[in-house]
Formats: sequence, C-alpha cells, structure tokens
Amino acid sequence: MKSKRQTLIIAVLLTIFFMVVSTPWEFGLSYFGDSTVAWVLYYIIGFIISLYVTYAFLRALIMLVNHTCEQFKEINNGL
Amino acid sequence: MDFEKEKKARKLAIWVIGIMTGIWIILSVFSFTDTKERVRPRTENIHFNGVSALKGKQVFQAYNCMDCHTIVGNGAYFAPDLTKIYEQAGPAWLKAYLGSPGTYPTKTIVDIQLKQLLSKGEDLPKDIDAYLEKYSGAHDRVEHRGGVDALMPNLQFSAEEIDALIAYFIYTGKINTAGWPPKVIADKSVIEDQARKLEEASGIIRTSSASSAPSSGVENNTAQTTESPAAIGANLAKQLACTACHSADGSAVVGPSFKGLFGSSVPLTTGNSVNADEEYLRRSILQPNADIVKDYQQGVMPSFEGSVSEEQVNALIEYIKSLK
Amino acid sequence: MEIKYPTQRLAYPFFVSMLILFIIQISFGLLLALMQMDPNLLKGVFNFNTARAFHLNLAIVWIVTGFIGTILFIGPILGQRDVKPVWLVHVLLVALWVVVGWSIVTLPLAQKGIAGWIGNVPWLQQGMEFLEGGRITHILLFIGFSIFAYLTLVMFPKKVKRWNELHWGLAIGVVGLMSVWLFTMIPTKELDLQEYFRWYVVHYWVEAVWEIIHITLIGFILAKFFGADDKEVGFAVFWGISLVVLSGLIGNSHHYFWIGTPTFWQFWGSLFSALEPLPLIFCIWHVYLDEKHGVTPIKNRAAFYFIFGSALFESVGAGVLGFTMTMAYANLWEHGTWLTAAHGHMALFGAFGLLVLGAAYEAARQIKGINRFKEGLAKLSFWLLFIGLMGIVGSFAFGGTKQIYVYRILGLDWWGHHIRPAMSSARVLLGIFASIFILGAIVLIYDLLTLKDREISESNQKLINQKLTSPKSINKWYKSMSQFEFGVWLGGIWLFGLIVTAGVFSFNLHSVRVGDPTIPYLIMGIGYVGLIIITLLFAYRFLMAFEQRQDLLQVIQNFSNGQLETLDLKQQPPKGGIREQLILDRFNQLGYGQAFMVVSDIEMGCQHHTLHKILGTSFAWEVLETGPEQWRVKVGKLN
Repeated sequence: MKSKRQTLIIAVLLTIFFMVVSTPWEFGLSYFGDSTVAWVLYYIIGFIISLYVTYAFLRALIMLVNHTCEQFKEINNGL
Repeated sequence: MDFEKEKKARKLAIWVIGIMTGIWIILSVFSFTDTKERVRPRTENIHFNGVSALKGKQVFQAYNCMDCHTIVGNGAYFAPDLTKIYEQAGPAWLKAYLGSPGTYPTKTIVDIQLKQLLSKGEDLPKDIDAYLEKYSGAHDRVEHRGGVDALMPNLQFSAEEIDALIAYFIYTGKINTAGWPPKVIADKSVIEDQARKLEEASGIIRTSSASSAPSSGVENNTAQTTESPAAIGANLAKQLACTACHSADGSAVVGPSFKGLFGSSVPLTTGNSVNADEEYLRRSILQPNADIVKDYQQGVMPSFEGSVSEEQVNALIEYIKSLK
Repeated sequence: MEIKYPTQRLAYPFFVSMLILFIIQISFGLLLALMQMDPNLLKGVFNFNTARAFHLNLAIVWIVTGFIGTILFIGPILGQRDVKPVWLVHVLLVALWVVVGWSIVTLPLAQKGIAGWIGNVPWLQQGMEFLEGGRITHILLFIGFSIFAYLTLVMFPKKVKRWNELHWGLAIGVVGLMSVWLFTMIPTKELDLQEYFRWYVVHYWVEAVWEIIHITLIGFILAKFFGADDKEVGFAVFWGISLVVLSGLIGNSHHYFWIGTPTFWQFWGSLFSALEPLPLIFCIWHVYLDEKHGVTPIKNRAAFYFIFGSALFESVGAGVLGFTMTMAYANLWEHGTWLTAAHGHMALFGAFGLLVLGAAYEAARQIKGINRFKEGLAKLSFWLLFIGLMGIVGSFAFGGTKQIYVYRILGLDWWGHHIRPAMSSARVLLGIFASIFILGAIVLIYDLLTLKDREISESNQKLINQKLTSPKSINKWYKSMSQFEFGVWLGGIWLFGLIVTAGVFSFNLHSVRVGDPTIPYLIMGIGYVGLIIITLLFAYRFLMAFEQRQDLLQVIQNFSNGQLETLDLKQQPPKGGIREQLILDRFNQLGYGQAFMVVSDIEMGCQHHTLHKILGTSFAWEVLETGPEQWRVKVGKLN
C-alpha cells in the first residue's frame, strides 16, 4: 500500500509539471471562441485524465520491473 | 498482482480511451463550427480579380508549393512561409513576381502591375510609393532584391493561376494562427546589423546599393546617357524586368526569347503566324495580349502602355533587333 | 526460431522490395541535401519539391513494405497456420510496385501544375506534405492495405477469444493502417480543415498505428529471441499500446496550434503530447528486461542491434526530441523550422526503419537456411547508419536553432538570403552525415542480399565457439548493466532532453526576443551535443554488455553436461531457503563463464527467482530436464 501511495504522489507531481509546461500563459484565458468556464473544465478534466495516464504508466512500469514468476503465472492461468 | 485487479485495470484503460475519443470529437466539432466570436474564413467567399481562393488552393496543391515553402508552418522549410505573404507584399508585388518567379520584380514592374490593378478597380494605394509604404514586405523586397535572380524555378503560371494564388493568399492571411509566427520585437538597428553581417558573409549585394541596377526612375537614366539606342534598350530591358521572362540567348524562360526574334515568323495560338517586324514588337510591348505566341500563356505579361515613353519603346526595339 | 511454415518464405520478396525502395528513398535524401547546398541544382528539371515528395512518400512506402514483410514472416508462427491464399500475397506485391510506378509517373506532374482536379478531388497528385499522391494513388493504396489486413487476420485463430495481446496488437495495427488512410480522401475546401485531416493520417499512423505495430513486433521478436514469458510480453504489449493511445489520441492536437483552429488545442495538445514519451520509456525498459531473459546464446546478434537501436531511437527521437518541441510555448518557436526535421528523421527512420531492417536480418537468415553468419558487415552498417543518423539529426538541430533566431527573432526571411547563409555550415554537415548514412545503407543492402556468402558452416562455428574462453576479468564497458545503471542512462538522456527543452523555451525570454541569442544557443548547444553523445555512449555500453553476455552464454553452453560438476539438492529440505543458499554458495565460487549443474526432485522456478533477486541478471539458468522425477538446470556465471 505504501508503494501505491508513493506512485500516486510521483504521478501527481509529474502531472503538475506537465500542466505547468502546457499552460499557454501569455495568451491568458481570453481565447476566441472560449470562456473561463470552459477553461476551468479543461483544467479539471485534463488533470484527471493525465493523472490517470501517468499513474497507469508508473504502475505498469513498476510491475514490469518488480514482477515475480508467481504473479505472471496467475495471469497465465486466468487469461 | 492478481488477475482480477489486472483485468479491471485493463477495462478502465479502455474506458478512458473511450472518454478521450468523446472529448476529441466534441473539441473537433466545436473547432469547425462558427461562433459569434469566431468565423472561419471560407475560400469560396474570397476572390481576387474574379477568381476564388478555392481555385487558388487547388493551384497551390497542383504545383506542390508545400514541398518547398511552408504554409501555416507546415511544409519543407526550403523557402519562405506563405501564410502572411499577402499582408507583407500585397497583390501588385505578387502579380509581378508570380509572372516570372525566377526573378525578383523591380519597382518599375510592381508599379506597372499596380496601375493595372487600379484600372480594374482594385482598392489599393493610388501610387507606388504609398503602396510600398503600406506593404512593407514589397518595399524591402524591391529595395533589396529587385531585378535579381530568385531561387524559385520559373513555373510559368497562367494569368488565372496567378490571380487564384493571390486570392488564396488573401484567404490564408485571414486565418487566425493564434499568434504564430511570434511578433518580432527586436530593435530595427539590431536586425539591420545582423542582416548586414549575414549578407557580407555570403556576398549578397542589395539592389539599392548596387550601382548597376537602379531601383527607381526609368526616365532620368535614359536621359543622361549618350550610348547607342540598342545599349540603352538593353539597360531598359533589365530595369523593366523584361529579361526576367525573355532571354537573350535563345532559351525559353517564361516568354519567348529575344534572340533572333526580329524578322522571324512567329507562330500564334490562333494557328496563323505573324512577321516580327517593328510594328509587331511595338504592339507586343504595349498590348501584349493582342497576339499570343504559340505555347505561351495569355494575360501573363502586363501592358507597358503609359509606363514607357515612345523613345524607350524604340530603344527596346533596337535592342531586340541587335540580338540576332 | 527456424522456418516452420513454408509460406513464411513469401516475406522475402517484400524485404527485397523494401531494400530497393530504401536505397532510392535515401538517395533522394542525399539529392535534397545537395539541393540545400546548391539551390540551383536541377532547378527547372527536377525541382526540390518533387524530390522531396519522393523522399517522403518512399519513406512511408518502404517502411510499410517492411511491416508487410515482417508480419507475413511472423504471422504464420503467431497464427499457427500458413498464409492463404498465396496468390493474394503475389497480388499484394504487384500492387505495391504498381503504386510505386504510378507515383513515379504522377508526382513529377507538380512541376507542370497538373493535379487532375475534377470538382474538388485531385486524381493525379495533391501537393500535400507526406500525402502527395492523388486519389488514384489513394485508392490503390487502400486496396493494398485491405489485402494486407485480410491476409493478416485470416492467419489468426478464428475464435477471437483465443487471441492474445500480440494478436490484438497486430490486428489493431493492420486494420488501423487501412482505416486511418481513409481520412486522406476527405475533400476539403479550407486549409484548416485540410491540415486537420492531413494530421489524422500522418499522426495517427506514426504516433498510433505504427507504434502499435512496432510495440507488438518488438514484443514478439524479443520473446522468440530470448524466450521471454508469453504472458509477460503480453502485459508489456497491452500497456504499451494502451499508453500510446491514451497519450497519442488527444496528443494529435499538437498539430492544431497554429493552423486556424481554436487556441484551446494548445492546452490539450501540449498536455497530452507531453505524455506521449511515457509508452516509449516503457518500451525500451521492456527491451532491457527481455534481453536479460536469454539463457542460451542467440543466433543473430546483428538483428538485435537493429531492434535495440529501434527502441532506443524511438525513445530518443520520438520521445525526447518530440517532447522538446511539443509544448505550445516551445512549438511557437520550433514550428516550421529544421528542428522539426531533426525530430522527424530520428523518429521515423530510427524507430520504424531500424525495426524492419532488424526483422529483415532475422527473416533473411531463416529463409536462406543460414544457421549463423559473419556479422561484421551487419554491425558495421548498423554503426554507420547510427552515426550517420545522429549526425543528420545534429545538423538539423544546429541549423534549426540558428534558423529560429534569424527567422523568428529577427524576422529576416528567405528572400533576403539571410536564412540560407545563417544555416550554411549546418547544410555542409548534413551532406557529410547523409553520405555516411548512405554508405551504411549500401553496406547493409549488400550484406543482406548476399547473406548466404557469409554463412558459417557448423564445423567452423564449433571451432569459433570452442575458441571462446572464460575471461579472467571483464572490462567495465562489458559488465552487465544493472537496472539502476540502465535507469541512470535513461535519466541522463532525459536530462539533456530537458536541457534542450529549456533552450527552446528560452526563446521566450525578453533578452532573447530583443536580439541576443546567447542563452538559447548555449543551452541548446549543450543539450543537443550532450544528447547525441550520451545516446551514442549508451548504445555502445548496452550493446557491448549484450555481446559479452552472449559470449559468456556461449562459453557456458560449450560445456557438455557430463563435464559439469553436479550439485544434488534431492536430499536437502525443500523449505527454509537451504537449497537457495547452497546454490548461491556454489555460484560465488565460479569464475566468469563457468557453470555447474543443479539436480532437484521438485520444480526450481522459485529458486530461480530467489537467485534473480540477489544476483540480478548475472547468472545463466538453462533448464535441461523438467520432471517428473528430476529437474536439472545448468547454472553459469555471466558478466
């Protein structure tokens, strides 16, 4: 469980980093065809989804690195 | 890792992909739907000289311009980006240049094109200096490179294709590129300094500083000289950018070569042929679309009526006569 | 793996076609480099745009041909049945050459401005970067892709329930290849819509469908080479593919920043394309892990060179270089400059080109019935291509950096002849490295086509093997790479990648924008040079450790089983870690390349994993007998 929390923390930090470099600061939020409400939505949805992607990546990578024979055997029998 | 957990994780991944597809579709539909704040420019609604920008898009693709130039930044990085070329250089420069893309137009020839556009009722600055002030890109190009060979091949666009391309560039100029390319905020002197350095390093001479190719005033040049009419004509042919299209060595550039032209029998598109006497040459300079030579395009050459004096026409004819 | 199904041989003509198209494609590349140096070269006869159209289209065609060859070659193994109908494979080959021939006729029409417009449909050619062919070409290609998808799918088990991740990966790949192509046929009247759909094809091919095929093929080939566990490969393939789609689906919007589409794409595109390197890191890590799985020497080290190169360049070219320029704030400067070309060359040839060339080596070996061949030329060509590609990318990066300054910061333009001279030294470098690259390609093609001449007979191979002896010590470049070290290398590559990113971002600084390029030049200089050097060193380090490991595996294999001392565990208690300790004690007395035999009365899978935890991958574990009365394993010491 501890490692799961660590993974999540790393994923959150990574996502925040990605969000920061992705924000088009200079243009502000006054785009054509857009509104502040839309932008708040973009940020919330964008954060959740990219957090998911980052977490899924870390989880898969950690599993790939730390796997043991028994673990994959279980899948083997299951799938 | 137990199997049930992994199965759930995989299902979740596929669900998220589904959600993303939804977001993608919503954003895409919104992108191409007009709103109050944002109306996409349409090629069919934009015309130049009666030709639509849609036709221009087709011409642009037909010549595969994108695999040398870039447009909205996409393309081959081998030649200028064309997205904003209309705002930079304006229609008269573009018309002059596209007629003979192997050579940069001189001020004189841009002026001639401007007058013709004005006579057709285009809404443009009334004289060449005002035009060059409005379209600073045209000013710079004329001042720096006027009359000099360009790197672009002579693609021999027809008159309609040229108008179509200009219409297309009017359209691309209206595209909201969200601040790209970034505005230049560097000081003029810094830019000029760097530009000079680069020019020196590669031996580029600007038209305005080169003695052999004056950029303005056709008249005073001819008045001062005491050379033979043919030599004056040769000089004129350069200034008026005749040589951008007509070679002196027999090769076909955009128009027929001057070499051996005088006295020859010229085949026309009508199937007839005409003897290239003085009268024919005069007519070809002043009303170039009266007779179109076989295998060449109508409407590409501008009329020089009103742009050249009677003596200058004679000098040009003498020059052509001299090229046997 | 050896040929099991006769129809695997049908792949061979596709590989030969691929090589022919490859050499033509890169010759056009060299021509373009020369045209960059002398823009008047062949002007009016064979214009730059036509040469570039060939360069781009052939790049796509030869790599797809390589995919076809590879999938036809491995498909029967995966589906456990022959390709059928055979005549359809021949039709596919003919169709391929018809498309190529037709393109040779139609693409130069751009010089005359003939597109064959009927209504708003260009039938002959359409002057769109990467997709220059006209509607007739589109239809021919679509037929080809459909045949290919059909041939692949009928090889697979009829019941979808029996498909594993590899089947799914290839199925999605071949169907995607076909269906994404359809977007090229949507007629558009405006430039923004045209570019919107153009990137559907280009992006969803190279950053989705091709990646999916790439991940699946790498997974399959490595499983066959190193005997990696099916389920583990399946796990890696599933998550590799999912991450590609999870990041790349919305990641496509990094093409929609400046084409006239709303600016919210800047946020979505930046965010998700920043995520796009994740699956690529995952993929190369998987390659690292799989390579350690091998317990017997592989027969084709050269092919592994190429496959490793492919995963590496995917990570560096597509992942790192893609990342450096993908956020809107960096893209604002990078867009429309040579930096794009730097990324494009490494990502396309590096990731996909090297993979199919590696597959061609293994396929050629098997189809020609060669057991082992002299790999000197193959490895020479690999390093020439590697260095050539690195140099090409470096030249583009160097030229592109100067181009940003002159073009975007100073606002000088091509017509004033300011950009060309600013980039002239980069252009010369480009020509030099392009020549090295072509040399590598010539060596490769010669080697592959005459591979039989370099066959090593079994008796000679035995002699060579016997000459290999256990080394007393191992050079540090040849030592096995620990997972930690691997991570450090990858981190180093990313560090320089982030430095380059910072350099591209630094064009936003006020001091730079008013005309002082020192900061970006310095940062990007350090970043690119560092990135190139560390990538080269990493590749060398990784492959040398791989070579050493393979040599040691060979040495261990040379021992006939009777020669080996035996450690009998039958009398030992099975629990409490005693058996593990005995094996460990024994192992610690071994020198490099020495081995002993363990005999047990129960399955030893978990002893293997205990050892794995302690020793990492520095031991060989060759299972010789698997029950039911006794289990025997050969344990050897590796680098």
